[in-house]
Amino acid sequence: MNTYLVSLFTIVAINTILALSLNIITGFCGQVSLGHAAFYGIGAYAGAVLAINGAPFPLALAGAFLITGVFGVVVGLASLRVRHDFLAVVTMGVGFLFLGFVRKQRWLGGELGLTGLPESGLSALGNLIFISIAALLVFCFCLYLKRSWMGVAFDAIARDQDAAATLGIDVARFKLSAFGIGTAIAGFAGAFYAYFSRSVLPDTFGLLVSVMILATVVIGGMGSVVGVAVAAVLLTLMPEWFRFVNDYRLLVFGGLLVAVMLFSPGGLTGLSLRMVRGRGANPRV
Amino acid sequence: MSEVLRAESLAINFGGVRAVDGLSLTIGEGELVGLIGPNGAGKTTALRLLTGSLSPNSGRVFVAGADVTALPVHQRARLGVASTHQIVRPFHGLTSLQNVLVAAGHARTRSVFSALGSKSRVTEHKRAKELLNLVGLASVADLNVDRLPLGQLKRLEVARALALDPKAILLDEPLAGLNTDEAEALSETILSLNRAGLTVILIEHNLSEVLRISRRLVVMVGGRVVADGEPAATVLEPVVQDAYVGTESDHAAA
Repeated sequence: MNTYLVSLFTIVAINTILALSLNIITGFCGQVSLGHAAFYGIGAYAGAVLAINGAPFPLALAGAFLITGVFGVVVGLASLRVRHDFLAVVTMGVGFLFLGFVRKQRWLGGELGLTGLPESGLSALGNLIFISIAALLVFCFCLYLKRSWMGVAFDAIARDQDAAATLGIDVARFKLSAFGIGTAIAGFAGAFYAYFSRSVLPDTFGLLVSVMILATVVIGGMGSVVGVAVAAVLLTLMPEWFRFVNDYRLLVFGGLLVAVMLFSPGGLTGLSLRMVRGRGANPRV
Repeated sequence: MSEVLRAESLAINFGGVRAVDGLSLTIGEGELVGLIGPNGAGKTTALRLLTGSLSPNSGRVFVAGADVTALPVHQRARLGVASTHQIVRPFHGLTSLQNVLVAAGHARTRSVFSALGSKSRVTEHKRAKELLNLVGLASVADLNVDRLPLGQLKRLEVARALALDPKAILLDEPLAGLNTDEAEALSETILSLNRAGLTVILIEHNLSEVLRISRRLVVMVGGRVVADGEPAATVLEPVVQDAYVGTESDHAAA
């Protein structure tokens, strides 16, 4: 496989992990986040700082996972106070805070970011295989999570959190768990990215990226593990397959998003379920 | 008779309105208490204070003798206080069975760790089916709740609350919006649950059904209890008659 394809598929695997991680928070548990790129960034910076300071690859990954998860739980506290569009605005603010903070930190390289990360010890192809296995594990974990009782509780909270509470569900703890798990996995994706690109730049984690991740989840079908994974793969490959798409990336994403919201609110999953079962199918079921 | 639920001088203000004003009430195990009163008497507010979805400005709530005033809704639900909503709150997009399943899994969802660690739904599935059967919804178990009429959604609320294996169930106008047959069928179900040992508090405007099945009647007016006793006698007390005659139009409208 040539270098171009190896790096392309590595990005595909990273984006899949990233979309699946937001799907836990927004798709499973119904908590809209427009700041997910910040957690991707926290994972990338944490992984990079650990790696530069001599931490071996597995330790840097684990560190990024844990540190990001802790930040995720703290931001998740916001979801206990505000809901829906207010939460979207708060998480967007968190994204700006993250960028604003990182850009001014000399120890994080400021505007120029961190460069010269040590190698993971694997070849480029080795990295791809490793990250792909990680993506597969995250995918399987998401499938399990959705079928577990935690998935049942998340789903109840997403549909009606007050009704869920009257049925004995500790809404606060489950929401924080969704944020903790989802962001920790995003941190994983960030650390993989840091190792893959061997540099971390603040601009990689802006609002646009957060919007793209959310768009991927919506286009794939909120809460559908398969749908979101497929959307992440397609939406990452599409701009590469069709060069013209790359120039109009935002236009295509925006157009798809509008089309999905208007014609198939269940995303790709809702669309395919409807084709199989007829109308009225819901991807969450 | 041991006490299941006790309110002690509960009071709450909404703006300048004292919605519940010094409510004290003790509910014993196995009772079927009808809670009536004209519109705005504070019945639903009282119920919400008991379940924990509202916090009182003063007063305390006890479940089986333990002070639960500071506990949130979900913890009181786990202590055995289940409730249904006046306006039905099904989980939209799920089937009836899936709706009941959420509550039937209360032992699994006790903590986030036990929830993450367990997947089997066999016992919960069976329990949910039993309950749907009990409330007469077995035939619509696999139907999306968005396709159910109000009468069935009211029953679903009851099944969901029962799935918590509660000590007491607080029903907020379960019969409202039902036709005579539906109302009678549901109140029969409530009666048989009570005979099986469940403590029931029933807020209802449907006086004939309340009087038919309750064994104790509590009347609220202006946020406080004005009469409490054997239903047939209580409803004839002058203070109750006054309250109802004074608001006949309200009552008719409800």
